[in-house]
Amino acid sequence: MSATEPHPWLAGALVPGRFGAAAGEPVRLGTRACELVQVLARRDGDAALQAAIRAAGGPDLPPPGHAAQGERMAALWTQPRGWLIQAGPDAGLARRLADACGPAAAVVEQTHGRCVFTLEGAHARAVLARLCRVDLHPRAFGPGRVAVTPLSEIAAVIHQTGAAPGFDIIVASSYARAVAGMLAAAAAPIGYQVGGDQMGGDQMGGDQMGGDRVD
Amino acid sequence: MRYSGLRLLTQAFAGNTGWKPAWRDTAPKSSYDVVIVGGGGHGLATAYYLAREHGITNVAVLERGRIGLGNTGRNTTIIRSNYLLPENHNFYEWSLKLWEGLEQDLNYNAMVSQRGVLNLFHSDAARHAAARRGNAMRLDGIDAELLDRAQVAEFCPLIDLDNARFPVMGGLLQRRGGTARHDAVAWGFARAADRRGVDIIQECEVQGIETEGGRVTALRTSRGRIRAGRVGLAVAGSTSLLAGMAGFEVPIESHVLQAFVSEAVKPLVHAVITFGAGHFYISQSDKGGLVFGGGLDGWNSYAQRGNLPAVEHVFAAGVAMMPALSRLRALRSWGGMMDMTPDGSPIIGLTPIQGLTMTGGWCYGGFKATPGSGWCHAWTIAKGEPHPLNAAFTLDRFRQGRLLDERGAGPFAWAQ
Amino acid sequence: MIQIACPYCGPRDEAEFAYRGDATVHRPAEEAGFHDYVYARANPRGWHLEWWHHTGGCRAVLKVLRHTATHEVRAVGLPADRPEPPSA
Repeated sequence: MSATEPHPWLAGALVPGRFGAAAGEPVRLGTRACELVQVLARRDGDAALQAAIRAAGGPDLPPPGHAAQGERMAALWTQPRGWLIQAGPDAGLARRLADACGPAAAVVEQTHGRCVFTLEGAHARAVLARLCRVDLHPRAFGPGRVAVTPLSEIAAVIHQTGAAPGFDIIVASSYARAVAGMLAAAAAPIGYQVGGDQMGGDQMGGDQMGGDRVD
Repeated sequence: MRYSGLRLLTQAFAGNTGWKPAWRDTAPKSSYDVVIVGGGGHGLATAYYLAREHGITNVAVLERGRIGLGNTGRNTTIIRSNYLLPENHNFYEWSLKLWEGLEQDLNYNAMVSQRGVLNLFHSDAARHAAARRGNAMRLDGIDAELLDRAQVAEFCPLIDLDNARFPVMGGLLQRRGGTARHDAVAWGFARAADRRGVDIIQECEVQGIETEGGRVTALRTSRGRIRAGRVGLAVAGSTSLLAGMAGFEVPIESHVLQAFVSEAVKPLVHAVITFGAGHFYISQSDKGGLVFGGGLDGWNSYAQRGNLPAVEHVFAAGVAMMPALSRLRALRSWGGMMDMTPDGSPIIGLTPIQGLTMTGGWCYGGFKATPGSGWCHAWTIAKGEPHPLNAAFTLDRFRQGRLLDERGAGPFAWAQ
Repeated sequence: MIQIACPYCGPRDEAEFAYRGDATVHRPAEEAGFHDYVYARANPRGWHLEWWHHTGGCRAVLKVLRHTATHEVRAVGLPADRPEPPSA
């Protein structure tokens, strides 16, 4: 399976269409195909890890609570001396980083271990506020910020990618289906759009928990 | 004054003007044979059994506040003896037997109701553990019945047998278990002890414990110094503080456990039901309120009030077990302080200080233990050594490696 | 409700953390000290130095100074920090 294929755990969980409340501007809910690699600096390995990331076209590793975008990949702080590296699909990232870091860091392929949801739109904060306890108000959070926090009871990394606002929500793939349902349920009172503008033919709803599709 | 149906009738015709206070509110004397610190159920039961079983009546019970207003009134009022380990179930069974005759014994209505306690299980492993526990109880003559799904459905139709995550496979039922009214238990023991000559001294806070050559000699209190050669501590929740006054440390942490009561509804839950996949237990009071609780808040606290994450957890577990509960409103919640020990079992017996005994470390088990704890503690005070029923509940069992780890949770007080 | 200001993540709800007990006990070199290390606890009614593990966040193990009667959190640090209880 390549990174561009949809997560099998999500089959039928999110299908294109508009769901939930019919009035007003919906939030847009989707998934992002990308490669993910977890890197953890080993003792005295910080400088070598940073050098390897930079050599691979990555950014300066960001401080706690932040993300940084490099030429070819982004780095999301997730824990002390630990980051998630995110790159476009099929970049062969894990192999390259592991080779470059050597013993300086633990490099773990997470492309299929995690699932990245995208949530965008003027009301995206209101949807997340139903599920997590972190203050996402612009004066406390913003583009380029990262919070590691449970979404309801499920461990998640929340990354604000844009000012619109837009968020990436990264969770373990084994929980992806549950999180899809949670996001759908939280977004239903506002209304949400999955996929592009066209409706998904006669596909009706999937098993989203958030209510009936609006045709 | 003895309570009876006739007394009730005559008082009714006399305009209820002849009732006397249930116990004397006495001032402390300067010296007693035995002083019990703590006027909750355990301390009052200790004093009562000292007088009844051992003829020791020159006894004072010191209570910091008022009788019935401490942690005695901050629990979910469940009585049972369904433990695995013989040391535990034999002790709790003795306590349950005392409950069975308690109201006649005390001449006081404690609303003891043997309505049954059902522990649900949701997996093969849990079924096996329940069968093993039930068998261990039956080997010692304690009633236990293993119910299958159909029997559970018949016993309590409100239970959701087909919960998606935790389908019910059956339950372990102890029919002799049930509930009692917690503050009435304290009042009943106070009245009965008082009638046998025990001084009950309220609003008397112990501030220091005096020792001489390793023997306890006196207590310094907010109402003066009281001499006593024998002192019993029955202050679960605050045992560490009193032990500290006497100069020794106990393997106890104080934690807060919350309980809740819903609005009153018609009879809905006729027994005590416990969820096996989360920490949740529920019964219905005679007023109709559903009384329920769950696990500890999970960190050291002396605050007698709980916090929202534990509330959320308890409600979620309750609704998972009985979805109909989601339509009820919670009326009140309260937090009680628990003496949590590293093995989840209590400490009743001698301390490093001669003449000073204790009953504490009750974890979740305190209320149901009230008569048994008082009975064993009184024996220990009177004889200077523990009764076989509490011989295993020593303070130094941790040093000796003789733990009574009922749950196998390891030495983490907050995990018991 | 407790809020713990994680040095890495900022103020977070207690539900994100796992309590790991008294932070004043130390593993002894000699076997003789093990009973006290494993079982004996000061259990104060007052300021308590304790471990909290930020399991729902950055996974850091934190040392927290908290009052056991008021639940006030006075200081949050990393394992090497030694927050002092405020003088009475």
